[in-house]
Amino acid sequence: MGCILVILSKKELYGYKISEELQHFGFDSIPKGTIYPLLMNMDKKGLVVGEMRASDEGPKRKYYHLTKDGISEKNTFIKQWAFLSSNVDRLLKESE
Amino acid sequence: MRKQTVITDNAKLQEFLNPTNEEYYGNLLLYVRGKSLLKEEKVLEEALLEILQDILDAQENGETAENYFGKQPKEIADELLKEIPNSFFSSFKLIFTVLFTYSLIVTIPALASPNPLLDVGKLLIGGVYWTSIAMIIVHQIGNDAYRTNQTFRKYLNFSLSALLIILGMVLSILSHTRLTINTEGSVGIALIGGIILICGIFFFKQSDKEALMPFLPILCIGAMLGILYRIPSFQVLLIRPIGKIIVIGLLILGMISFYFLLYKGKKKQTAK
Repeated sequence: MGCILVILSKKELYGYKISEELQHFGFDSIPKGTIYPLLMNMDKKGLVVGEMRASDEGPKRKYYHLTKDGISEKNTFIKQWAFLSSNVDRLLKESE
Repeated sequence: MRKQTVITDNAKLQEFLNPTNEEYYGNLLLYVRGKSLLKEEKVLEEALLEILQDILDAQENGETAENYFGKQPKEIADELLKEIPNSFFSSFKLIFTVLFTYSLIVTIPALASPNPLLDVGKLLIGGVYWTSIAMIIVHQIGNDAYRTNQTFRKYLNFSLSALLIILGMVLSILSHTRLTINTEGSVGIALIGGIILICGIFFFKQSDKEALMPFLPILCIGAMLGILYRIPSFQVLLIRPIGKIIVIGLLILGMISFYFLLYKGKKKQTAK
């Protein structure tokens, strides 16, 4: 969820484009079907809003963007990740 | 977007899927729709359309639906269903629509007889029975979308459905209640007129009129006979042997039209 929040903080995207972004950052093995329940859950929690809008290719697509709560949740995720990541790095360095 | 527009867009877009992806998405659709009786239909249909559009994008980029969406679509579909809000109003509307349509379809033939007493209780029992059966069958179709032994399940479901249909027919023949209304004369004519008007509005509001076409001749013939039975001068004629032959002839004509239009519709659908 945190990664999707970060991706959506850069620009509004629809499902397939989010999956492409995830793939671009190396999340190849994750079945992209899992992003739909996740997006719906985030929508329910008020972190993102999905709006039907005409896409570059033509037909209307559901574009997602972050809400205020979504932005704050993204910031919390980044802080938590930085904390976790530095702790794990320290642990790995010390155990070498 | 309206729910019906979303469903129509979905049906149109499915035509662009290749056979493998069509089967994959078809199973997903059957499973999700079959298991969504209590769910908010519009939210569900929007999610299904969104997935279809993305599968089409993946297809365009040379990826299969399975590679894109995942090898365990049932588990993902369950997760999706968990996130879709429940809507008792949606379920109530669906049940009411099935019940109402059943009552309309059954009332016309029931009125097309010389007997002026309309058994409303019997109609209600039949309505509840057939609505429940329709819901069970739809739910079961959803359940079977990801079952492994498809052929065996198909035969089992076919046998069970046949048994339930026979049971429903026996129920409609044997059940009689005291909850009747007298539909003699102008009361019956007004009732038939009202039903035809509602059916007409319902028909013209439907986007897929072809599916309902086969029912039209039999309903019109039934309504016409029902009205004629309630006009004294025609009633005298219709209960005579020659009148009975005319009634049987008209009903046979209605049935032939029903099967002809059904066959024509199926042929047109296959050609697409």
